[in-house]
Amino acid sequence: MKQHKIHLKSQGGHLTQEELISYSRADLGIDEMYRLELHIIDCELCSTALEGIENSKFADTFDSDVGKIKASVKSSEELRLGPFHLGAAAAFLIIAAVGIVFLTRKPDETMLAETKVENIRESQPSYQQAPVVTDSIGQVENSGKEEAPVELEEEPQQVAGSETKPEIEPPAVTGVTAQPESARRVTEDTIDEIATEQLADVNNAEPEEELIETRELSAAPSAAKAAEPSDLNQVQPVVDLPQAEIIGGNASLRRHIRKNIQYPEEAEANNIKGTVTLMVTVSPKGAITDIKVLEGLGYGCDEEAIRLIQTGPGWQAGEVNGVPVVSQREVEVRFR
Amino acid sequence: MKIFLTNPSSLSDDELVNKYQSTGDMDYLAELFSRYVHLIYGVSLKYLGDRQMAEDTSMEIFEVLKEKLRNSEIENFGGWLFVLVKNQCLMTLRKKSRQEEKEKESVLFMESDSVEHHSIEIDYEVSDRILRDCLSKLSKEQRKCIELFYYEEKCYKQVANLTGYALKKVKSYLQNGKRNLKNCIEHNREAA
Repeated sequence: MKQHKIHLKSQGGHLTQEELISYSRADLGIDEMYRLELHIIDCELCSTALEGIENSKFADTFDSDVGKIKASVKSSEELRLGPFHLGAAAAFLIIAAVGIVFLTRKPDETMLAETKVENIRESQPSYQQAPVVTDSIGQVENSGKEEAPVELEEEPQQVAGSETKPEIEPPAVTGVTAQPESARRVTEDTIDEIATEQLADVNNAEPEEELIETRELSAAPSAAKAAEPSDLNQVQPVVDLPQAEIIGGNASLRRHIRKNIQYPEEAEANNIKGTVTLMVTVSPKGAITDIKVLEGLGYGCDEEAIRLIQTGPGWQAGEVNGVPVVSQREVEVRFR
Repeated sequence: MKIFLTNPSSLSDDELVNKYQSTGDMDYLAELFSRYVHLIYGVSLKYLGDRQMAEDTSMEIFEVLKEKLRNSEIENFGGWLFVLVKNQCLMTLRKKSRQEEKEKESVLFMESDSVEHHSIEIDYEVSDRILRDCLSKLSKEQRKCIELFYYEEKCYKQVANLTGYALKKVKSYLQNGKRNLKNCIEHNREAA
């Protein structure tokens, strides 16, 4: 076999317009084709352009189209000079005219100035009001408005077990008034489903600083993807169990947690933040039979997370062939 | 009236790029554009599949070049231009039907991010051993095509005839084979 050097660098220049066309029409001799192919093989620009005109639909008009593009780019460049000079001339005229007006109408100048000041004054209050408004409901707006729509859209998917984004729900009382119409409607719907003890809590003071989030991962296959590798071993033995559902949905649990969380003093003192991941096991009748800490934070956070689940909304066991069975669900409680 | 010490048409592509970057003079860009317009249009045709859209996009690319060319570091103009044209076409497609093209576009954009600008094109003698090693790692089809093309100096068509593969297949075997070969060789050089 003849030994040739394989060039890693593309050979020769890009195809000219003539080369492009004759190659696509196979009008070339073998040597010539080979010479071009030594370039094409490494040049995405040329090989893609060739694919473009190899479509016979475009081959015949190719030359004239390229001519059109060239001409229009050229004329647009020439036009550019026109408006520029015109613009400069116009600007000069305007400056001159304004100068003349000022020279001839000096007495009016002060009047003009006064109206200007008035205009500025009028517009100021509206600028000042804005920050005041946002200050009063700033917290609510920030935590509620931005997140709520996203959260609501995702709600149906959570059931399917996908990982939910970190969410912050607006505090119920103030939040309801600040929420967009759609969000309010849904909130009201879900409120009906919350246990009465939670309704009673609505008026209680809420821990504003602590934004607690739940992230729920199903025990179904998709959980494997979301869970840390270290978790996998712990989750796997129970992966076959169907997924338990929270009565009232994830939102009701989140609401419960947000209202009832008591940030452990110990954790606060040590500036502990993070997520506690729990595995909740539910009996066929919907009673919580076991809560395991899959990933804990310590400093009282684990206990608090467990307490929140125990005091939270009821559970509904998953079903196999329509029969409730022992089921599980992974729940994350975020402390921050 | 402008007086050029050197006529733009006598400059190389790289010189035109440099001159345009340092002076911003449109004549350099215009010359560069006219050298590539058929390729720009061809690539646009390929991606857009429509003459009118491809024409419009080619003209837009001239406008885009005005800005982008001044502010980009360009080692290989052809490779750089290809990515630019491709992205411009995808933008046109996205404008045309935002919803429909969403997925396609995101996939293609990812691809284009990973496109090498062929900047690591050092022409070096490859040791026989590495070359053989890398050739043997190619798929049978790719190896066959590469050998016929480089060693026997057969053009695409002849390779197709000799192997019985369709011409389109030959092209993709060659291009992918070459890319794999290049990656393999560069990898081995780094390791060495």
